[in-house]
Amino acid sequence: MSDLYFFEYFTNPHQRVYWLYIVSTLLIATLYLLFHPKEKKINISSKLWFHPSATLDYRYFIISFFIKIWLVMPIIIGAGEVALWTQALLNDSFGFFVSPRLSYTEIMVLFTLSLFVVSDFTRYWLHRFMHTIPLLWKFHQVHHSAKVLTPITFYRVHPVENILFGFRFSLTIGMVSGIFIYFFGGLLSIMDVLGVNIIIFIYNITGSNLRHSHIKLKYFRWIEKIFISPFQHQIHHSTKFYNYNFGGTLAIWDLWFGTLKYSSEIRHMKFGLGENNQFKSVLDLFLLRKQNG
Amino acid sequence: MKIFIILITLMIYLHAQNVGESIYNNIILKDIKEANQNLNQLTLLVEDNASDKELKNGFTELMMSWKKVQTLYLAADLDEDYIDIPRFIDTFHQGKENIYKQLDRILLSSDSLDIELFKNSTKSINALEYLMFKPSQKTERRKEMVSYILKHIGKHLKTIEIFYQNNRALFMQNAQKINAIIMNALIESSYKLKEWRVGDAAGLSRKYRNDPNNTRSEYPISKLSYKAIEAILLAHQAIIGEQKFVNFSNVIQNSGADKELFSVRRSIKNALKYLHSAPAYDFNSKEMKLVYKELTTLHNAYYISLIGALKITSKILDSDGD
Repeated sequence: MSDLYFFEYFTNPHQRVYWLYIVSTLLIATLYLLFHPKEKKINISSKLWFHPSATLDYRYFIISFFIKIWLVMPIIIGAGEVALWTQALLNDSFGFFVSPRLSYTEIMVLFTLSLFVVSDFTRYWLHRFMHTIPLLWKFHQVHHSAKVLTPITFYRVHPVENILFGFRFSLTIGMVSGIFIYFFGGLLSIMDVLGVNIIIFIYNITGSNLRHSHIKLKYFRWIEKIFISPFQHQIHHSTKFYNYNFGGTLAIWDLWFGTLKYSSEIRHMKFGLGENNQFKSVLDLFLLRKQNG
Repeated sequence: MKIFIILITLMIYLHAQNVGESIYNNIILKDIKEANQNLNQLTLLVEDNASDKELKNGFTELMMSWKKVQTLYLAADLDEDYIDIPRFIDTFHQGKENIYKQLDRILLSSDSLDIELFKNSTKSINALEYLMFKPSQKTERRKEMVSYILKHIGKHLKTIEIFYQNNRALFMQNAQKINAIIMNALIESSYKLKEWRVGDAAGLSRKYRNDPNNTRSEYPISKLSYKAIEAILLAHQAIIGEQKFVNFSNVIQNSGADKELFSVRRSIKNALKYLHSAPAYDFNSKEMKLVYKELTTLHNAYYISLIGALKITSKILDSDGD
């Protein structure tokens, strides 16, 4: 824990703003703007990047790092511990299981996919609960209060939400890993790129940072039934449709549970919580202190 | 910068190759060769009508070297055609048939051994143990049966040796896969050692809690069960203990699980210490309870090392919320 440092955000491939993902995001954005020159002005405008909401994001990004290190991380249980408990519980309940003879590659593909799918599923539901349970919405409003979107908006999250998502991560990944360890023992590994689950890596390198941006990248309608496009996530940040598109990577959860909104359905939108619901300082964000206009 | 990256990549590649090659040369190939040598040695002793003491030593050597091969039997995970070979050699904890009764009957029969010893279980190392240590009368028939079984075991040990010799490249090519296979072998072996080889006899396993019984141990006829446990622990020590050659401990260290590595090594060392001080063939002794405790720690430490190596650590730095 103590060996974490701030710049790890940019040097650790597990982080959303890892330098390689930023570079790939810039490339995709450049390509997009070549084909949509009308949107160039707003996207390179200093009014966007130095908007009070954006500068608040930057300040919050730096200060919240220390809050996470000192307050959030010490109380989050590790996924490793959960995995160990899960496998011990299964062992105690059903006895030791000698690995069935699936090949190493089959187990690796199955484990990599399971980690991703189960994690994305729990992420959808926790995100949805953050919206539908009034107490949780109070904390999640911090994220939705951004009036302009930049990749750093991703980090505009209240520490209570960090804790909840931290527990979600540990429980989900830990339980899936524990189950796999029980069934397949040590014959377990993840398909990875730079140590990151290959699916997450692909998701990140293909423009996950555009979710929090003004690049209106849309997918074909049939793809938007499977994967959430950046524009679909921007719809989720709008003042009118924030109860749609809760999905992280996969859109199938939104499709199945009736919360999917396609890009083609929306023309214009505004971000934020409205003029009378604004957080003006870092302290306001932490204390959930909203102010008018 | 480019040269630096190439150098680092090359170093990582060479290191991975080095570990695989070292394990292959210093453990995998060495152990199977030793098992085959010990088998040939015992075959000669049987043919020469050696003394009981020499035969017992010969059997002990063969059994211990086989236990080492069995502990790190990686062939099954590299080629599924090799899954069943250990079962052809060893029947411990497999099935519920009473091979002793069958062997007694075959000893009295005069039918061809090709017909009588048609089952793998009656040609196993466990059958060999019975024939070498139990029957009071050392008849020619018994000697023939022992030689027949040794030939059967030898055939399978040779198959394993040839497989390893022909597949040297597999150990060098895919370090990640070899590491996973080794970790799996260590976890499985530590569980069987703890529950089957110690716990069942000591009345500490789930199945036989508070019901100790020495006859549940692996070699109850020769009373060499402690030696089998020792051989397995030595196999673990070879692959993960402090050795003159590069071994699996380097992989564990590289994954950042230094603490778990220390725990693994300490448990192996302590288990061996308690095993050596345990009263002869008494699984109900306090020393064997301590061996069981150390093996439980060992088994758990392997799991923790595995989880550490999987790098499923919390990424709390990411808000993860969207």
